[in-house]
Amino acid sequence: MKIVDQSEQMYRRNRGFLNRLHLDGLLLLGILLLLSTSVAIVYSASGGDWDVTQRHIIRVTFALGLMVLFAQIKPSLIFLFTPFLFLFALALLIAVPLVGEIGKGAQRWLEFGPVRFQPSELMKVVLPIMVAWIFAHSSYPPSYQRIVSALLVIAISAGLIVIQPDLGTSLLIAMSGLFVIFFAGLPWKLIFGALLLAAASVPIAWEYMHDYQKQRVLTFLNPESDPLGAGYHIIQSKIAIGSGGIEGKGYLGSTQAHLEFLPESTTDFIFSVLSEEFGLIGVILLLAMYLFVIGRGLYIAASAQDQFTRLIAASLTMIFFVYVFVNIGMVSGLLPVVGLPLPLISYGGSSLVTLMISFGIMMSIQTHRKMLTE
Amino acid sequence: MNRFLNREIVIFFLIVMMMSALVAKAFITQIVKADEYQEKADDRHIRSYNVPGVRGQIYDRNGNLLAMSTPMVAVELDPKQIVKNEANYHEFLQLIGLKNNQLLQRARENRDRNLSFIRYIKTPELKEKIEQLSLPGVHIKKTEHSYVSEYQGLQRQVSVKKEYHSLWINEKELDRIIYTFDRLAKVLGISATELRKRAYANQKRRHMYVKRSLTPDFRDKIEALRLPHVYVSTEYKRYYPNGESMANLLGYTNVDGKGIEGIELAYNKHLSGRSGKKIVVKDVKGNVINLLKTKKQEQDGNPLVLSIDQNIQYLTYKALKQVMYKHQPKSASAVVLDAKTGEVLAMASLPSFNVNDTAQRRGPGIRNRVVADVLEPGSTMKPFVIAKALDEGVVDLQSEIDTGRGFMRVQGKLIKDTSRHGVLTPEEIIQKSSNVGTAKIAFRMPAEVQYDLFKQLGFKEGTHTYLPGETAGRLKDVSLWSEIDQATTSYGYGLSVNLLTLARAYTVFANQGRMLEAQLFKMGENEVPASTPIFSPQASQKVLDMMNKVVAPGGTAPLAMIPGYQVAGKTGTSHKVSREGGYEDNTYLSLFAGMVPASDPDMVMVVAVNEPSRGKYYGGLVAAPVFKEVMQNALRLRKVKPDWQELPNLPLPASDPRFAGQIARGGM
Repeated sequence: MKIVDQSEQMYRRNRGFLNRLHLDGLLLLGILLLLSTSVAIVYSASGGDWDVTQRHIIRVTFALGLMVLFAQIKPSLIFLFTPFLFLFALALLIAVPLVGEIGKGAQRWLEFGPVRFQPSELMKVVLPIMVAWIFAHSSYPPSYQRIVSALLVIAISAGLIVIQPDLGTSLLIAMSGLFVIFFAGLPWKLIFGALLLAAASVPIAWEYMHDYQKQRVLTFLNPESDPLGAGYHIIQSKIAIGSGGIEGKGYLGSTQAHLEFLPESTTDFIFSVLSEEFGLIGVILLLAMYLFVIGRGLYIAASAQDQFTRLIAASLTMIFFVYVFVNIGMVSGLLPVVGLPLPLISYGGSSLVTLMISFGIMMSIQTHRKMLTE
Repeated sequence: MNRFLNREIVIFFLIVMMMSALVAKAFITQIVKADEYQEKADDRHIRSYNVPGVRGQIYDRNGNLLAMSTPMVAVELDPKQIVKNEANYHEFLQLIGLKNNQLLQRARENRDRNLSFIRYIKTPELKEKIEQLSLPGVHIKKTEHSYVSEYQGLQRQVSVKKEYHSLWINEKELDRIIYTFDRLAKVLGISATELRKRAYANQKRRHMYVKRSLTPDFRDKIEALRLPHVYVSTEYKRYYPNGESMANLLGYTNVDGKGIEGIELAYNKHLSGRSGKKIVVKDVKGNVINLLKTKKQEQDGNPLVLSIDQNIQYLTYKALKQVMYKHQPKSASAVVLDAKTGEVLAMASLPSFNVNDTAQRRGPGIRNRVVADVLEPGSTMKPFVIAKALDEGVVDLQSEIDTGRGFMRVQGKLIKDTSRHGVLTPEEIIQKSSNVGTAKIAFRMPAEVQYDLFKQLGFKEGTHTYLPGETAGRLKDVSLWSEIDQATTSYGYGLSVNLLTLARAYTVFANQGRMLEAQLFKMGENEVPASTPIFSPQASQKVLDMMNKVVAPGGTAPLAMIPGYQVAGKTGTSHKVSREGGYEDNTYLSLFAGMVPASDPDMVMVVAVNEPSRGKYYGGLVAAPVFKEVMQNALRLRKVKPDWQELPNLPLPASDPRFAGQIARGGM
């Protein structure tokens, strides 16, 4: 105990104010840079709507508060409560089809008084932690029993979200679980085998589909063949990005967004606004900021002192990256259209809250390192 | 720990690679294909359109609007494109082997969001043919799907590639082609069959008006239909607040905003705006967001400020209208000039018409008779001859001219007075309007002097208002004059002038022998009116005094007397020239030319009533009351001080309700 006290005192003396708050300076810098960019772009994308911007600022502040709050929780405490948290989240997911609100044609919301809440958002954070819990004391590479139980946990969670139905989110959640298994040391042989199996199943499934189903799938894969439906968004978005050029049209200069050609310009398609206004230079700067945050996240994972925290940090960082990649890929026409906001930049509440909680946990992992009593 | 780290490093490099892929994609879109997308963006937002310049407004001297342009909309279409679309649609139906209702039914049944699946397209020829028609709302989806796969049991990879072509239609868009005419006709309240016929008749042209001069709310109504090749443009409709009272003076414009009659025609160039071309950014709803650049600046037309006084004009019009009713003449016209500047304060002729109703823009009403009709001035000519004789010294105020028994013969032709007056002074000749007396005075001067006088007064050239239909006077050249011509022209026969010329000539007596130029436009504060000296101030003043006697008990025009003011004037009653030559016995032109106040004239007014048909025809009976009616009110409007102190009995102000209507009719 004496040693711990000494090290803690030394740690506090050396690291100063931020670490006393359990905040990681570099990660915080990256996040704050992205969030301030966000406020500026939301203002422009909403067509200079100060009300929208104000609401956004309030949400950002609230989410930052949550991040600070979660940074205070010791990872050991999280470890203790993980199974209960997971069961709680699972219970909520089961509750959704029974008592949930219907929003946009799908039941995703639970209502607690004035607060509407999406259990799947909770699951986004809880599932990777749960899977990490399973591998916490695993050998390297992990035993097949652990892998199977992890896959089971993933399948149940993702399955419950699929029936809401919310295919996109369930895929992302499944992916976050799979990332944990990957970082836990899944043999490469197994990884490639699974990928090949998935690819091989596609043409077989194709044969069993009806014509109209095929049409839908094809439109989904190639939205530009349907310029009036899903393709409309993508075409407009590409025009926005393309017309930005190298330097862009300048702040508040996005015609596509301001003239309402661009749909969802403050949420899913906010990247197009940024590209149109700031051009290629802006895009590169934004991606650099993301890379900085991701790099810092992976560094935290790499320097984590145990398997549990390392897996959590790595998986949460990966999910963050997947969000960035899928959104930008979709908006620039590399990937099919899925409704996913650009992390830390898009206007919107729940995804921001989830992300900031994840960052809080990551900061906690980084700043509680030396205080571990074990 | 190192083994753990491995995966983070692998992943980090993977992430860097994927991020680079995003940058590469952005690079391709933003740099390599930037021009293409920039163009597409411009295509979507940038429109060029014509902006009509607004035609200049017309004001009266006090700034009241006489003619204004209100924004309206016109609905136009491109008949060539619409007819082509219809034909293409029928060809399309034939190509896919469906009838119109079959296609629409299938579309209803197979709708997926905006599009409806119709059928697969098997042959590339069909696909090409359909694509060539380029019908809006008809889409061919080409979907290519390729992937690499490894079948179980096979050791090598197989690449699978599939291509599908399918025909989809957007019902809403296609509907707009099929029902273009019906929808347009319904909103505009016209017949669809009629419209279709018109469009097919014009099918070689790229432009056709469907309906014009619509109220601006039709813009939204038409644009909401989103019909292809149907456009809404702004145009301006001319509106004349004064309607009938100024109709034949102001004239009007056609639906294209071009002056067709009156001042609108005469000063069309000045009033017309030039349309410009603007390039603007529009949003998804078609609203203009901001102006990018002006290719050609539109130019609004210039305003015109007339010398007309709206109120005096209306008084004149009203008085003439009463004359038309009371004496049933063929026409009546009058002009009021500012005696000090020559500005036209009122210029009215009847019959007139409601200029705001396009259906009425025809017939005799559109003629501005003040400048377009010529008339023989008759006895209103006499003051000029007498003034000239005074200047020449061939008579003085005391000269006695024997008019004998009221007639005389010149070259076998009879000149006669209305009654026998015996020996008359020049003043009495004016007062009694003796033809014989005037002719005798004229004979004391050489014919050339008289001819030059008439020419100076503008009786040959006429006025220069440039109003449409303006006619010069008719005056025979002096070399062709015989004795009788000198005699008849001295009392106003055998020459003809328009009414404005006559009025202008009368400004001589208001300006000490100097004649002013008639002005149609308001003069500046310090502008000095152009004038020509004609008589000596003394002679002019003497004749003015004589004319004062005309408008007095015992003169020919006591009905022109205005309480509180001295009036100078001269009546005229001339036989109308018959079609067969010579003069007609029973048709007359009643004239009155006068000015008020006689001590320092403020206004000159000339009234002509053409062929009164209710028994009375003397200028003093028919035309003089018009003068009185108008001048009495105009003097008050212009706040002219009364110059006659000894009033027989002071009338109550006309505004007194107990006297409403009585004063106007009752004279003094």
